[in-house]
Amino acid sequence: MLRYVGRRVAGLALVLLIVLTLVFFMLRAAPGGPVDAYLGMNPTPEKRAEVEHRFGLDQPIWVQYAKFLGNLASGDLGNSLFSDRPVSAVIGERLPVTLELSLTAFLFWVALGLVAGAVAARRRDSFVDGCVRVISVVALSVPSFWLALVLVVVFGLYVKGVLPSSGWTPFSQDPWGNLRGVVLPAFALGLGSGAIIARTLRASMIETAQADYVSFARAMGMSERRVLRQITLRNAIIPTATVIGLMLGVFVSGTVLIENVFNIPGIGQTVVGAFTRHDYPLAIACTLITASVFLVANLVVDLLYFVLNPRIRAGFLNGTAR
Amino acid sequence: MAAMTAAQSPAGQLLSVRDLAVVFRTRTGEVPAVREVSFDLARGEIFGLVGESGSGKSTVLTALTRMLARNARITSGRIGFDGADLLALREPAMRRLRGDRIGLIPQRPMTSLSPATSIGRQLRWHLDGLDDAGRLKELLGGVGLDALLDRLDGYPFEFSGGQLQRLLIAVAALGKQPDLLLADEPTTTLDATVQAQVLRLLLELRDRVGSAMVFVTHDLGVISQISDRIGVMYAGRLVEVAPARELFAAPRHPYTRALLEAIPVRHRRGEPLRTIPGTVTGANRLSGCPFAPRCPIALDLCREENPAPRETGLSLVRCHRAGEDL
Ligand SMILES: Nc1ncnc2c1ncn2[C@@H]1O[C@H](COP(=O)(O)OP(=O)(O)O)[C@@H](O)[C@H]1O
Ligand SMILES: [Mg+2]
Repeated sequence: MLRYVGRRVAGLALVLLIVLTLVFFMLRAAPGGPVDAYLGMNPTPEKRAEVEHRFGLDQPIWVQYAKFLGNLASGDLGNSLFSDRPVSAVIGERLPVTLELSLTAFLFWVALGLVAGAVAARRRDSFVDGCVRVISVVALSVPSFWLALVLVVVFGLYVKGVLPSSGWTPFSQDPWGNLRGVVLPAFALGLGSGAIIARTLRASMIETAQADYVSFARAMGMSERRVLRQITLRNAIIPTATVIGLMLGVFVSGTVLIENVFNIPGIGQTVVGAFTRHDYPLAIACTLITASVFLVANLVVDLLYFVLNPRIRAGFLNGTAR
Repeated sequence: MAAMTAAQSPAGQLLSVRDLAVVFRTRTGEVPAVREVSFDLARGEIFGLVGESGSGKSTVLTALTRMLARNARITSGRIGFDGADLLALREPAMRRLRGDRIGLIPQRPMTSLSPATSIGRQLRWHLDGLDDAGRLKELLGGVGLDALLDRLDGYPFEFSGGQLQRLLIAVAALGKQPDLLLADEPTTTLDATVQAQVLRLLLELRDRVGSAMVFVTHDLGVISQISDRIGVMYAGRLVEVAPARELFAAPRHPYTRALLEAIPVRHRRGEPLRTIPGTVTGANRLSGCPFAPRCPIALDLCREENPAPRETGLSLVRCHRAGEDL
């Protein structure tokens, strides 16, 4: 088990390195550059050369890359080209905001999705089931940028003062205001994923309910409640956990759009600015942190799956699985 | 084997099924899967239900536990079990009978235990008092699974079909000791040697526990080994019921005869193996005798009117020509 985690972490580091390398070269291959963004229109050639030198961009690209790797190895991500603040400080400021948003949305929508899916499956073909099915289809077909814009417009223009629709209040400053502020963006961020989770659990519970092992347990006189809890739910959660794992990406990458629409100072907002202004160190750092969050969350879900599914566990212990 | 069947008065019957009919609603209309099925079962008796696939055997069994599929409906009949009318019971009362008084040995042992929970825990779900090591040992030993005692934290997929079927028998028969045990082709997914072992185990348990059993199979060889009495099903109808020996010695219904002639063991070298001409398709919708279209001795009457059961020798036969000297 420990060896498995060790191997996964090593693999994870390799993936990060590849991603960072790709971003490093893609940033430099993109038209335009930080110098233009920094100096504005028509700078003199001397000024250009000076700034280029200051950013270290006058060196051959492989030298830049070697330096980048060296700094990365020593944990130095550099300073923002524009604000000249250490990139790690910027990340340290903005990451908690994004994490709070993602995590709130994730927990809320996973919980709601699971409850809705379980209730719908349990009361199959009832009114509640119909509601879950209709609402989840609608939720799935609403693009999240559209939903976010609608929420901003509605709560910003029409029903003012109910919930904040723009900006961010730090938790340390005003806990209640902070929580109120996270409601709308978290709602918009995870609606679709919540719908998918609900539909997956519903479908797999209905399928599980026809399994031989459910019939046998009922034939042995087990109560419906216990069958549901100990058997149907327990088995149906396995495919659902896979889907939840896939949804993680949405909760991480979705923040880019949501933070920009709701004007939230998190990584998602930072990353857009960093890429448009060719702020290489900041863009790389944002990539690093987003990819890390995603990969670590993925690892956690895989380990959870390992715990949930005895077949995978046994296969692993016998050496037939990865 | 047949010793216990003789001289049972109907009043002393454990199970009495009368005119049972089950209909499935499907996209192509209603399928009458079981019609006018009646039989009795004494305590400790083994009743074999035989018939080809689709003849309604599983449907009869499932109706006995009232666990039919959502699209199924029992349209008529009475199921008397130890004085109670099962079809009139409310669901909670029915649930109390399941397992404790009416047990089930499933058809597919490999998929009949939850794959996500250890077998030890699942044993504890269904049986009390297993924390007593002696009881557990007795239970597993009783089905020849002593070797599993220290593997109870294993999961179903780590065991063979034969082991799992023994385990299920340990729970459903030995552990619960029900008055009535229903077994739906409990050996068809097992290979031949294991199949024989499981059959022997079931017979042994009947003698030890005293459960009556309805044993469903499409295999006449299997049913001859285990049953005291046999019912032959065709297209949803029970066409003949007879003591096991009688059925094999003197089959009365033309379908039973055709079935026996098709058994490979009875087949003599050089003689072509006989199959029954025609097809069963659609037979369960016929208003006359369901076997009439394939029957070599059918009369016009047979196509028009389903025969009532007739006592012929020791058999109860639904055939217009039963008792005729053919
Ligand atoms: N869930 C179901 N829905 C519709 N038809 C069914 C269903 N289960 C069984 N049947 C039909 O009922 C008939 C009897 O089936 P079954 O009792 O399973 O037969 P057997 O056990 O003898 O093979 C078949 O014609 C089958 O097609
Ligand atoms: Mg069947």
